[in-house]
Amino acid sequence: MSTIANERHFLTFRIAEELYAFDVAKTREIVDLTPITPVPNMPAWIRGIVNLRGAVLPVLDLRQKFGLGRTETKPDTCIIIVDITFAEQTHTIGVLADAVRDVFAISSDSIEPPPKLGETISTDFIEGIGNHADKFFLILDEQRVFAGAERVLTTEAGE
Amino acid sequence: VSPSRHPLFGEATTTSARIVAQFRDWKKGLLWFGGAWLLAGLYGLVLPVTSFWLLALGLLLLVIGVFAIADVSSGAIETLTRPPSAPSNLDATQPAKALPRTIDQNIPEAHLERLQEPNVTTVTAVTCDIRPELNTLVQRGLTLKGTLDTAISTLANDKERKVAIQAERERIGKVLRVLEQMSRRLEMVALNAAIEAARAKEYGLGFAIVANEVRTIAEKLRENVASALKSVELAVSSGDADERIVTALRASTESVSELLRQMDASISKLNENDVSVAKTDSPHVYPNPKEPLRVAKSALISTPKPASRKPTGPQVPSPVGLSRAVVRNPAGGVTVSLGPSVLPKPFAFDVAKTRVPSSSVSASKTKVCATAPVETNEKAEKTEAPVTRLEGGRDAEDAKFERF
Repeated sequence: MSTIANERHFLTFRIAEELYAFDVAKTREIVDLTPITPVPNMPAWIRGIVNLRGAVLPVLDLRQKFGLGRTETKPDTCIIIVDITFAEQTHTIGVLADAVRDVFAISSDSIEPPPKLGETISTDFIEGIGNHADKFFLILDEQRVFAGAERVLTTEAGE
Repeated sequence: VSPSRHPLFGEATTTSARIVAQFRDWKKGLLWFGGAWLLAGLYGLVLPVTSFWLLALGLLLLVIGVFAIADVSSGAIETLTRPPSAPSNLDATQPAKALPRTIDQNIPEAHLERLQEPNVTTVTAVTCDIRPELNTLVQRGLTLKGTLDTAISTLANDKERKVAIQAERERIGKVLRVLEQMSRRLEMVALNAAIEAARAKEYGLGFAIVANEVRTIAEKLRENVASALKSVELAVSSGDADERIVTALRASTESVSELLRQMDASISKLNENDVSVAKTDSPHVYPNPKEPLRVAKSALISTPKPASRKPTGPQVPSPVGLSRAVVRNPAGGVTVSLGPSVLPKPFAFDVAKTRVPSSSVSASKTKVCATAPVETNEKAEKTEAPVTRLEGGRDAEDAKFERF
């Protein structure tokens, strides 16, 4: 059982020129980019909502959140459907990615801790740094990377 | 030969309870019964009257029993040569490649019990779900390949007619662009399959191998189609039907069809590997629109009364993308459901052998995507352009995929 227990599966994707990854356990699927309906009064990195087979999901733009500009629509652009948990409630959201790369497993021992860049720069949204096929990728902590979304997603759900 | 197994007694020979259990099998029971009868007959030799008949009947039963048991033991030997049982295989001490064959051959009760766990339904549903989509994509690709071949041969044969050449080239370009989109779609389907396989952990190992295979082929397909497109663009820009370009095109399309065949083989493997798991598929669960909608409602922070924003009318799952509905079931697990309404509709792709007048096509309810090029010569009549039809009521997403 040991080999499987130590392995973690990741879905890597590209935002700008960098590779990022989500744990597959939190990922539901990848869908082609569908038209996003903008929602007023939202932070710029909440792009709007999409209709996924009758279900309405908010779509977040990580590129914008990382300060790398707005995600443009290209042939490879797609939406990753991710589960996040806020206040013990699971929310399903879409995340824009410039391209999806791969799904693979790496040993959890090979994951390096995130770099410490002093107290002023927070790197806590990075769960770790993985290495696959001689390329580094940042493993994102989906709880923390969408920290601002918590307010938006849970304010009314709690009422 | 495993010491714990015996051709006659099956499992362990040590406990008498096991032996008694074996009598439930009629073949083995017959053998033992025949033996007992024979003993009785031998004992009957000492007694008068019926001893001969007892002996004869006992012998007969024994012979039948031996024949029956020969059948059983050959089966038993077969099981012995197989890996012991699926659960120990699933412990993943073995390399993953050994898995796919064994999972479905002897799917034991223990495994069936574990199928009740939420993650496993994911594999089954995804297999049922992805398979038809992959199949339609490959079939469609093969059809396109046929059109491409005829178009290329026309291009090679009609060098004298400039207009014809131009039309053929444009048509080849169109077909290739559809193939390109198709390979992109295949890649995405395979990636989703890989995600599902990874989510299903050890149950998904066999499935993951096939998913990877499909993905590799899809990637190669995309590369090949891209190179074919390049040579078509070269042909269009250079302005005449160069032999070299035609040969390059032929080579690319050959590899495309080869890849499509490989893909077909992989998909049939998918069928084999997961058919037994698919048998124990859970009842279809249709998406509950409430939960994601609640998320969306809260996203609309400026909405004054969220209660009034209820979905109007039934939420029908539309055949978009993977056509898979992921919902959270009451047990807390993730269930992927599928049903007739979420399965992709078969592509209505016809290569019209007889000419379709463009007026009649546009008059009908079907939408024509690739219109036939201008009729130029006698030969073009045989190789009429593909008429891609969209069935009425198709989703916008599918329409986007079809359009090029």
